[in-house]
Amino acid sequence: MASAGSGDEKAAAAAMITLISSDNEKFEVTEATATLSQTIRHMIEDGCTDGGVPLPNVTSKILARVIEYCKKHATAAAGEEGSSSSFSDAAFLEVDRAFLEELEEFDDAFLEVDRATLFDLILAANYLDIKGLLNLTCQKVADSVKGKTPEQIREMYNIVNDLTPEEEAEIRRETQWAFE
Amino acid sequence: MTSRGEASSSSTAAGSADPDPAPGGMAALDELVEEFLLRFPPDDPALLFRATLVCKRWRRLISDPSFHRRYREFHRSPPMLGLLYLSLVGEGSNCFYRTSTSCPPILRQCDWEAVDSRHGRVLQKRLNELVVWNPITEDRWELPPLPRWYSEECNMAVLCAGAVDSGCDHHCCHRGPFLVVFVGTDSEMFSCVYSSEDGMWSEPTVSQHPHDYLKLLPSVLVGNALYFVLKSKTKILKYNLGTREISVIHLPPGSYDTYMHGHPVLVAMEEDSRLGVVTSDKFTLYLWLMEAVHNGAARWTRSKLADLKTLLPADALFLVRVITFVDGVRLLFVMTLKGLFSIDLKSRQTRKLLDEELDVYSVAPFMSFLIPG
Repeated sequence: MASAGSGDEKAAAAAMITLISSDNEKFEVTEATATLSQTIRHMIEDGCTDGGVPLPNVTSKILARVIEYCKKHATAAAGEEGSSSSFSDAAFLEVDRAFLEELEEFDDAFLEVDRATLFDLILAANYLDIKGLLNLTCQKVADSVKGKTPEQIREMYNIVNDLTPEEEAEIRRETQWAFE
Repeated sequence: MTSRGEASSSSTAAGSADPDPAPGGMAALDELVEEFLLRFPPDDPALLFRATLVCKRWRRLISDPSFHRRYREFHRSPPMLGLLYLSLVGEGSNCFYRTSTSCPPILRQCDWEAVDSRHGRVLQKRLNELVVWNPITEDRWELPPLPRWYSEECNMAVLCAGAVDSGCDHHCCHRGPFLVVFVGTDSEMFSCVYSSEDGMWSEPTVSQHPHDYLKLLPSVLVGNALYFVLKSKTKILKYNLGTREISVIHLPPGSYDTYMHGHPVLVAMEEDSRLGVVTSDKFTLYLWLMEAVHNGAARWTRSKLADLKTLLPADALFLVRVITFVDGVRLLFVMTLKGLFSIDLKSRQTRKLLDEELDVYSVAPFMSFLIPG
């Protein structure tokens, strides 16, 4: 896993970090996994991770899922760095492709959750600043409204319609093509 | 519908000590709504337009210029909404074909010939009249007559005025100033430039004749130069936008006799930074990338682009002619005995777009972001 980078990074990859969920459950993870979160990366840089990192905004149920994601993607990141020097090598590209496919399958399966869990994952990804996870989960929400009418979107996400009937009629008239 | 307590985790995520009393759903993720909207696919612009009808907040968010900027930056290159094609059937038959999932109505048929399209604008020609048309705003600019007479041996291109030296990213310049470059190869080769800011054509510049004639097919813009196809199929013209000089570039040796029934297909590769030429040998398509030019002699590297035998239906493998290739979306357009096909080189999906009766010979892809204003 610690296939690239300076000696310092190699040492860091082996170091373990303790994450503490809002319901006080402790999770031991490698630094490579934890630093997919920019929030935790900054904490490590500032040297304030001794005694564990309390995450009062994330429940153990969600944190377990987030860690599952980070573990998988930290391995992917390490693999990418390791093979970058032989980028032109067809065999390596083949391995990369297989790995990327596997990662995609993992992401698809990861997103098989109910809407409430999906939202909790988005909030956790946002709070922990995990770019890949935020992108993945937000894209899932964006995809879920495809082919939905404004009424269906409101219903899906408990949104109150505060547009006046006149405003609604005007929007529909101006962009009729979008509703056909 | 979503009765579970995601609201409570949201209130803490936002740093508030009080639990959010609002029921779950989107309310809990208020500040992240923009993140979802940002990920709506640009080739289905109806989604954003429909989303403006959800509530006032969404409408405000989507209409905000800062959202427009973020959306364009997030998706980087404008989506292809469709293509303007010219067919040999019918007098100046010129139509728009939608290739995106959704698109506002753009002309169905008109008797103006679409000769070029770039940066959200379309350059149209009827006899000696030229018009620049913006299909999104429906604005039309009639250009004044050219400063000199020309015959049919000519070509022209429309582009954003910022393409010359201001480094415009062309994500949202379709309402701004534009240029039209005109090149003619009659007894002399000459060029002139129309600037929408000046409202007039520049004085014609005469250059050394290439002993060849221009073919009226869409040009490509690569870096700071426009490239035009010549009739002989062995050379092309390069028009330098900075110096306004024209030079001749020789195509890869021996490649010209393999263009089947068509013409050299010029393509802008690698985010419009490199010139490519698509050639074919039987049903195998090759992409030649231009490396460097010394005294008109270019160095080219060849790679395989596609094998049409595995991509087109067997009964379409006759009179095959590559029309164009759009690198940004990896779409190849091929005219065959069975009509016009688009081939997505990423997904390897082939779609028949138009019937064979319309003998399409030129296609100008139309690409633009469409975001509710």
